[in-house]
Formats: sequence, structure tokens, C-alpha cells
Amino acid sequence: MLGEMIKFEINRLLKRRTSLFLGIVLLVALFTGVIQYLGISTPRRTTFDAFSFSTSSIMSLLLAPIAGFFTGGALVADSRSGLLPLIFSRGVSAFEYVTSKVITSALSQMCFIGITLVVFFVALLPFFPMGTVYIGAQRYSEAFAYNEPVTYCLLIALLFMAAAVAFNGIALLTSVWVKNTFVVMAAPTLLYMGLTYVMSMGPTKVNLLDPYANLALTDVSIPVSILHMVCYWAVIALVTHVLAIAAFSLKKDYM
Amino acid sequence: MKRLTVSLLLCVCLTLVLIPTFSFGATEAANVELNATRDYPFKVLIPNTNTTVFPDNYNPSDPSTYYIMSPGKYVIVQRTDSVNRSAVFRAVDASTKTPLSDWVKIWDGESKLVYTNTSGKTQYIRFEISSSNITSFWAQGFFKFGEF
Repeated sequence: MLGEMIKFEINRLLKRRTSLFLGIVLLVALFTGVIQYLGISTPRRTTFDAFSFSTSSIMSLLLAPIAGFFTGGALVADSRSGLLPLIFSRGVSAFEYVTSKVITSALSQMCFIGITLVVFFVALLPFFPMGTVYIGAQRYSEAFAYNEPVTYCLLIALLFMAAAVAFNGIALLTSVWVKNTFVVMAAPTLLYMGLTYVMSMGPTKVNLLDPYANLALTDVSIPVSILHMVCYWAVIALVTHVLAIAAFSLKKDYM
Repeated sequence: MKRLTVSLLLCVCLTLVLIPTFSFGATEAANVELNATRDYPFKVLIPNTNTTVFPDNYNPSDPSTYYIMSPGKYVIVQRTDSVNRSAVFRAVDASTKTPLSDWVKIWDGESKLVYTNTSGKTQYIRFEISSSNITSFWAQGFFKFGEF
């Protein structure tokens, strides 16, 4: 039954035109990051440097709202449209339903961010020569980024995918109790901004758990490697999704 | 008489202690001055996703509100704060704010060359400072002017 539900959810997601719109918005924003990159002094402009700099500048601001609006409202939309009683009347349990939602939305977030980043990288190829990362790297991974630009860029792509899934988890968890679609979609952004402002109040030091510091690679430096940052977002993603499944499964009233 | 002798001895001792300090200090200062940079301290609140110009109170008749760069002079920005956020600096014309250099990204504790006057004439400059951080922060350090 779970397999069928996942298939059903994937079919529904593929028919959504919002994905294309959000993808275009993200690509345009990433190109504004390239314009910012062109104004900054660097020994040499390269594709990997532009990719790394632009994604690190833009994703820290846009990832939370994009992820929230992409699949964050998946649960609450079914609830509001009256689809839930129909699904449950066919013998699907709450656990199966919410698990299929969580799996498909997390996978679609990863595919969406991954595909957008690949398209962005390919679009950069005609404009910049291949070369290493000079100024676009996270401060404590500069040597690694310089020596292994391909691996570094793959790691930051993984970081943004993990962060998108984490934001999706926050939205799904919120939608267990909140029935307003807009509030649910905006929840990851509000929480992200709120935590960032609270944790950035220290005048000299940056908090290691500051979500902004774990995304804005070229703006804030925390003394951890890029792999630690991937783990940070992966843990949040795992915890929020597990909590969303547990909370929805244990809920009594689904309307 | 005893008191006078003790006072004199104390004076001689003090002089012996202090003279070498002064002389070494003078020698060091002279040595530093030969190859030195002239350092101007700064402390500036860098706004979030916006720019600020330092010094912000430009007045053509007040030389303390801009920096004079003769031909061949360079300026290095040294950040001495420990705020773990990057900032970008560039030199701009003091009156028109026309950019004279590219943005240079500088982390806390770093020093980087921002601009060299290769125009062949004296320029009056200020610094435009920015950051793409979502919270504003205080940065401080020195503008180090030197000559090749």
C-alpha cells in the first residue's frame, strides 16, 4: 500500500507547474549572484568559483522560502481540499499516508534543487573557463576547495539539498497543527530568520548552530568543515521528518 | 646633604634606565618609518545588504574626512576585529563616489591590498564598505597607506 501511495504522490508532483516557475525564479536569482561575483576582485574568474560564490550568496536567502513553497504545503493542501477522508476510506492508514508524503516531498526537494544547480552550472559554462575556486569557498574549506573544486561543488550542492529537505520537514511538521497554507509555507522562512537574528546577536562570535552561518558560506565563517554543515542540515531534516510522521500518525482529528 | 645625594643618585639611575628606552624607541620608529605604511584606524558599522562610505562626513575643506593618495601609493585594509563575517571594501572617489577599484572580500583578521593609485595624479579617496550578511555588524582595523 505504501508503494502505491508513493507512486500516486509522485504522479501528483510531476503534474505541478509551480515547480517550473520556482525553478526559473531560483535560476534568475542565482544569476544575480553571478553579477555580484563579477564586481568582486579575484585572481581569475572560473566556472567553479562563480558557481560556488553565487550559490552561497543566494541560497542563504532564498532556499527557505523556495523549499517552503515547493512542497511545504503538501499535507495541508490535501486536508483543505477534502482529499484526506477519500484516501483513508480506501484503507490507507495515517502512517502510510504521511510516510509517502514525507518520502516523496523529500525526494522531490532533492531532485528540484539538484536539477536547478546542474542547469545553473551548465549555463555558466559558456561564460567562464574551467578552473579552481578562488574566493567562493567557505573559509575553513578554502584549501580543499582550491585543490578539489569538483568535489567541493558537489558537497555544497549536497548541503543545499539537505537544507531544502530540512526546511520541507519544518513545513510538514507545522502543517500537522496549522491549517493555513500560507502560514505553513512561510513557517520555515520565519523560523530560519528568527533563529538567525537571535543567534547573530553576539557582537563578536558566531554561534555554531546559527542556521544562516551554516548556509551563507562566503559571508559567515564558523570553524567547521563543509561536511559538518551537511551533517547539521541532514540531522535537522531527519528529526523534523520523523517528528512529522509521528505527530501525524498519532493525531486523532485529521480535518 | 644626604637627602640631596640620594635624590641625585635616584635621578642618575632613572636617567640611565630611561635614556636607552627613548633612544631605542627613536631608532625603531626611524627604522619603521623608512619602509612603513601610514595607518589610519577605522571602526564602522557595516549595514546588512547595503553599503556605507567611510568617512561618511565628506567635506573638501577638511582633510580628515578623506584620504589623499599621491601617484604610486597603495592602500591595504587590515581588519583587526574578530567578528566572523566577511566584508567587502573598495576605494571610491571622495566627492563623486565613483568606484576606483573592484570589491575586495576581507575576513576578520585578514589584510588585503584594495587599491593602488596608478592614475599618475593625486587622488582623494574614501572607502565604500558592504556586506551581504543579513545582520549588520561592527568592523574595525586600519587603512594602511604605503608607497612602492
